Amino acid sequence: MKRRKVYFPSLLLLSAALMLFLLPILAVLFFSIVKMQDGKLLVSVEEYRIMLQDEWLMRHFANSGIISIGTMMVQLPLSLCLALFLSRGRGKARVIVIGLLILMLLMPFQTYMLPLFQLYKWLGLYDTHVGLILYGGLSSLGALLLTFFIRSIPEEQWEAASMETSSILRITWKVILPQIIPALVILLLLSFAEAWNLVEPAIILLDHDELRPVSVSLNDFHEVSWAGAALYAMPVIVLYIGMLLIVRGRKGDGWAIDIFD
Amino acid sequence: MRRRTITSVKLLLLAMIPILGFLLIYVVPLGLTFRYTFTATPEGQTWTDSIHEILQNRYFAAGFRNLLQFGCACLGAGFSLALGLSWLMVRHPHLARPAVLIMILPLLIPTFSVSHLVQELFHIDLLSRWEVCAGALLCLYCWKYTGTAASILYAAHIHLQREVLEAAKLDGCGEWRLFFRVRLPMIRGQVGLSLLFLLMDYFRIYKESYLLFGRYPPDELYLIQHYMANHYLKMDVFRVSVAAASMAVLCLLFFGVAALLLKEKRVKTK
Amino acid sequence: MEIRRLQWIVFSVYAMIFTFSLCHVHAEATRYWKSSEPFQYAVAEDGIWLNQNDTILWHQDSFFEPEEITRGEQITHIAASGNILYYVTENGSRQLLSSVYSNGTMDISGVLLQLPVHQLEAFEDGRLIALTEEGALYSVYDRDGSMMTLDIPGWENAHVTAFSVWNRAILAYKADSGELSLLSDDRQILFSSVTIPNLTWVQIGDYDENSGWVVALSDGKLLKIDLKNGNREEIAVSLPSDAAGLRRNKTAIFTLCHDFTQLHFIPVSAIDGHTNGKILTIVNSVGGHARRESAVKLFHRQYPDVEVVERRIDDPRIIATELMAGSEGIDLVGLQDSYMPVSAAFLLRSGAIADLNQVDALVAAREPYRDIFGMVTIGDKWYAVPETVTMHMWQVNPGLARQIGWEIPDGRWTQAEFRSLAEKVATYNRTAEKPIYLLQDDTFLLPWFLYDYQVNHVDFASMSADYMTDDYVEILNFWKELNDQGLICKAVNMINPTMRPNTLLAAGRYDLWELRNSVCILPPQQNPDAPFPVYGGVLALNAHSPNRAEAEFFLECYLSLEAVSHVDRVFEGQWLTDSSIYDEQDDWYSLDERTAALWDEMLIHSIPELFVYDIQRDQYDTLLPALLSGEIDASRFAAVSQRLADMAFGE
Repeated sequence: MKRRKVYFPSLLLLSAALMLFLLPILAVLFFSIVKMQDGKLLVSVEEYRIMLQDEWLMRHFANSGIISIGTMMVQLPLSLCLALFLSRGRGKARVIVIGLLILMLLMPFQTYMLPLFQLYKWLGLYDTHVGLILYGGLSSLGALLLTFFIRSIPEEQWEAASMETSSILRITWKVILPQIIPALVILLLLSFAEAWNLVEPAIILLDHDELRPVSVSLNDFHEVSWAGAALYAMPVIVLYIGMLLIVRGRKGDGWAIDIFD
Repeated sequence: MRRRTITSVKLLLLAMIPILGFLLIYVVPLGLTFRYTFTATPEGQTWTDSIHEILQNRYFAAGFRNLLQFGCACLGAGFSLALGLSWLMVRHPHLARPAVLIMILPLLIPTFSVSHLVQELFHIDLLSRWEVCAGALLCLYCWKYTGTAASILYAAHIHLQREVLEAAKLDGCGEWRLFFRVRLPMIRGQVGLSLLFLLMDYFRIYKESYLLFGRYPPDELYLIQHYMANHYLKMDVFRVSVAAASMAVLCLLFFGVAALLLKEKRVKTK
Repeated sequence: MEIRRLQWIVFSVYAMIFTFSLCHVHAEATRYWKSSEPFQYAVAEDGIWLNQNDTILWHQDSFFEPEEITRGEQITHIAASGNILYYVTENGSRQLLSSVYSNGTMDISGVLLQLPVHQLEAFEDGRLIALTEEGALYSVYDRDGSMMTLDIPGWENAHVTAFSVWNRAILAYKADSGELSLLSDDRQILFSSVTIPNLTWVQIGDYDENSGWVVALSDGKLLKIDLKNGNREEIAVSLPSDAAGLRRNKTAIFTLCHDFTQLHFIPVSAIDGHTNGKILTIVNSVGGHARRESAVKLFHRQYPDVEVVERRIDDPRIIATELMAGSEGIDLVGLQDSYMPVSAAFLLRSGAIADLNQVDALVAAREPYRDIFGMVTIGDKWYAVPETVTMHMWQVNPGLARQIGWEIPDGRWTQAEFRSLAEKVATYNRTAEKPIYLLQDDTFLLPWFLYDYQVNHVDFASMSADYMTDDYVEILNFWKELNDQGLICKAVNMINPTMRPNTLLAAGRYDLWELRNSVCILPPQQNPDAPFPVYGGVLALNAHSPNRAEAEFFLECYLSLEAVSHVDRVFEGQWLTDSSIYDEQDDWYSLDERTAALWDEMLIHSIPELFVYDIQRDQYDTLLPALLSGEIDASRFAAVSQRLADMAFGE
C-alpha cells in the first residue's frame, strides 16, 4: 500500500502563497463594504447603490460589456485559425509571423497610437464599437496561447485524422478542439479581461461619451472609491466563476492540460 | 507529401484573414510610426543631429537601462517564485488544481482595482524611497503574472516520465540534485516558454507603473515607455518614433540572439 | 471543398464588418449639453434656456454650467424670446403663464391662460403663439392670458398637430392630411401646396417670396422639405430615433434626444447646403461668446463657405492625437495650463502649435494693442491669442493696515518688505486683543511665492529649472514659519472665497471684476524688475492644421478691433491703446482707478503662468502639506521639485 507523505511545511507554504494571491481581491471587496468612520466600523452598501443608480455609469458598463464580449467572439475563431497555421503549417513565414506577434505584444500603445488613429478615421472605424472590437480581437495574445497548446498535441493524432478526412475543419473539430478546451476557456477569459481593461485605445479611438467603456470613465476620477474598484472588477470575477462551473461540469478526455482533471 | 503540402496551403489560406487583419491594425501603424523617424525631424536641425541629441539624452538612456535592470529583477524574482510554486504544486497535487485556478485570477483582475490598495499598503507617494516603489511594483508584477509561469512549469513537471525520475532516485540522487540536475533540464522547453511569458508580461509593466506613480516615477523606475508616453503628450512625434524604433530594434536583436542560441542548442543535442 | 466554404464564410463576415463600419457615418449633430435627467429647452440668440426639475436655467455658453434663474411648480412648457423666457405652469386643470428675464427679474407672474395649451412658441419680439389641445393656433396676450384665434383667410385653423415660429412666419402641420403651410404673421398664406405624411416636428428653414424650405422630423429622420415643389431629402445626420422637438436660433437647429437628456444642434448652414464642406474647428475656447460671434461674422466675409464649429475635448490624449494627426479635428485650440498636463511651452518646442510671429498679418493685427502679449510669449515665440486674464493680486484690509500702522504700497514692493510686514504683524499680535492673520491664501493651487519664484528661476524658453538655490529654501522656510506662527489662514468658503474680516491681506488669482470692491496691491516680488505671471485662457493655432490659412485668418478676425471690443474691460482690463473703444461698452460699473492702474502694471509686464501640471499637483498634494507638517524640510522639498523638473524638462 502506497502511503502518500504529506509534507506539512510545504503545505503551509503553498496555502499561504495561495492566500496571498487571493488577498488583494478580497481586500478590495472587503473595504468596499466596510469603512472606518469616527473610529467605528461601518458596514454599508451605500456606495454601490449610488453607483448602480448612476445611469451614465451603467451605460458605460454596458459599453464595456459589448466591447469585451465582441472581442471574445472575434478573438476565438481568428486565434484558432492562426494557431493552427503556426503549429501545423510549414514554411519560414511562420517564424516571421510569430516574431511579429511577439513584437506587437511588447510594444506599448504609444508606438502605434497616432497612425492607428489616422487609419481608423480613414477606414471609418473611428468612434465605433466595432473598431475597438477589431482592435482587441486581432491582438496576438490568443494566437500565441493557442499555438503553445496545440503544439503539445502529438502529430500522430493529426496524421491519423487526416487519413480519414481532408477537411481541416473536421480534423480540428474532432481531434484538436476537445483537447484544448481549457486553453479556449483561458483564452476567452483573457481576451475578455484585456478588453475590459482597455484604457488608452478606448480614449483615442472613441469620441462620443455614449460609447465610452467604464475603464475610461473610472479613470477620469482622481479618487475612486473602493466600491468603484470592486464594481469594476466584479464582472470579470463573475465570468471567471461562470466559466469554471461550466467547464468542471464536463468531463474532458485527454486534455492537453490536466489542470481540470 | 502532396497531401501535406495541400494541407499547409489550406492552413495558410485559413490564417490569411487574421494575419492580414493583424498586419493592418498593428504592424502597419507601427511601420508608419517608424516612418516618422525619418519624416518628422524637428525644424532647424539635421536628421543626424536630432538622432544624436536623443541618443545622448540622459532619460532616453535611463529608460532602456532601467528597463533592462528592473527587468532582470522582475524576471528573476518572478521565475524563482514560479518555479517554487510549481514545485510546491507537484508536492501537493490535490492542491494543484485550485492553485492554478487561484493564480490565474490576478491576471484577469483589472490593475486599476488593486492599484489603490497597493498604494496604501506600501505608502507610496512622491516622498517614498525608490526602493519601496520598486518593491511595490515588483510585488504587483509577481502577483499578476507569476501564475501563468507557475502553471506552465507545473504542467511540464507532471508530464515528465516517471521512469527517469525513479531511476535517478534509485541511483541515490538527493532531492535538490534531483530537482536541478534532472527535472529542470527535462523541462527546458517549458522553462523557456515560461520565461518568454514572464518577459512579455514584463513589458506591460508600464500600465501598472503609471497607475502607481503617474507620469514621473522615481528616477530608477523611469522606463522607455514613460519616455514615449510623455513625449506623446508633448506632441513630439519624432521622439516617440525614435524611441519606438529603438525599442523594436532591441527586441529584434534580443530575439534574434535567442533564436540563434536555441538553434545552436538544437543542433548540439542532435 | 470544406475549407473553401469556410474561407468564403469568413471573408464575407469580414467584408460585412468593414462595410458596416464604413457606412457608420457619424453625426454632424453636435451635442450641446447633456444631463442625467430629462429637461425641456428653448432657444435664444445667445444662449439656451432649460427647464430641469421645475428649475429654470440659463445656459449662455456650452463650456460652463448653466445658471439657475428661478423655480416654478409643475412647469410644462417653455418658450424663449430674446432674453425673456415664458413658461407655463399647471395648477390642477389651470395653466398659468409667467415670464422671467435672464438676469432673474420676474416679469409676468402667473397669468391664467384662457384655453388649455399643448405647445407654446414665441417670436423674437415677444409675441406668443399657442397650439391648443383641439388643434387650433391662437395668439396669446401675455398680460392677461387672453387668446385670440389665428384667422387666416384660405387656411383652416384646425387639426394642427405641430407648428413653429421664426422670422415673422408660422409653419403649421396637420398630421391627418399631411398639409404643411407657411403663414406670415400678418395673416397671409405664403406657401401651402405641400403635403407630406408622417411628420412629428417641423421648423422653418429659410424663405422669401418665391421659395422656401423647412426642416422636419419623421421617424427619427431629419428631412429638408422644399415648400414650392414638395421635394424632400433626408439630411445625413444620425440622430437617435427618439429625437424630439425642433427649435432654432439664427445659426442652428436644436433637438432633444436620449429620453430628453441630451440637446443636439445642427448648423443651419449645413442643411442649407451652402458650405463647401470645410470646417474650422475651435476646441476648448474660453473666450466670450460675443467676441467669437463677431470674429465669425468677419471671418465669413472672406470665407463664407467655411463653417466654424466649436468642440470641447476633455482628455489631453485626444487633443494630442488630433493635433498631431493633422487631419480635420482641431484647427484652433484653447490652452489653459491647469487642465492640460503639458505646458504650452512643450507644445511650442515640439512644433505642435505655431509661432504666430511667423504670420505677418497677425503681427500687424497687434498694432492697436498695448504691450500685453508678454503673457502669450515664450522666449521670442508668440504662441497664442489671449482670451481671458486672471492674475495674482492681493487684497488689503485698509482698516487693519491703519491699525497696525502699515502704509499700503501703491506700486511694486519686495519680498523683503513683506518679511518686515510679517514681523510687524507678529509683534502686533503679541499684545493685541484680537490677533489678526497676515495673509489669507485663497489659491487652490500653490502659494503665490512659488509662482513668483518660477518667474526668476524657471525658464521655459530654455527648458531649465533651478530649485536648488538658497533663495528657494529660504522662502519655503519663511512660509513654514508664517504658518507655524499662525499668520496664514484659508478662506472659510473655498468655492466662493471672500476676505475674512480679521486678515490683513488675501492672496488669490482673480479677474478684474472680482476685485471691484477691494483695495488691491501687487504681490511682493523677489526681484523688483521681474514680470508678473498671468494665467488665462488663450487660443493657439495647430501647426499641422489642414485649414491653416483659414485658421490664421480667423485669429486675425479674433484680434480685430470689432471682435476685441467685446472683451469686457471690467473683467480683463484694457487691452487696446485707444480707450475710446471701451466707451461703447456697457460699463454698468466704473473701474476703480487705482486697481485698474495696478492691473495695467501687471498686464504690461506679464509672462505666461506656465507650469508642468504633474509637478504643480505633486507640490500641492504632497510636498506642501509635508513641509508644513514638518515631515520634510525645505531642502528636501527643493530636491524633489528639482528631480521632477529635471525629468519633465530633460526627457
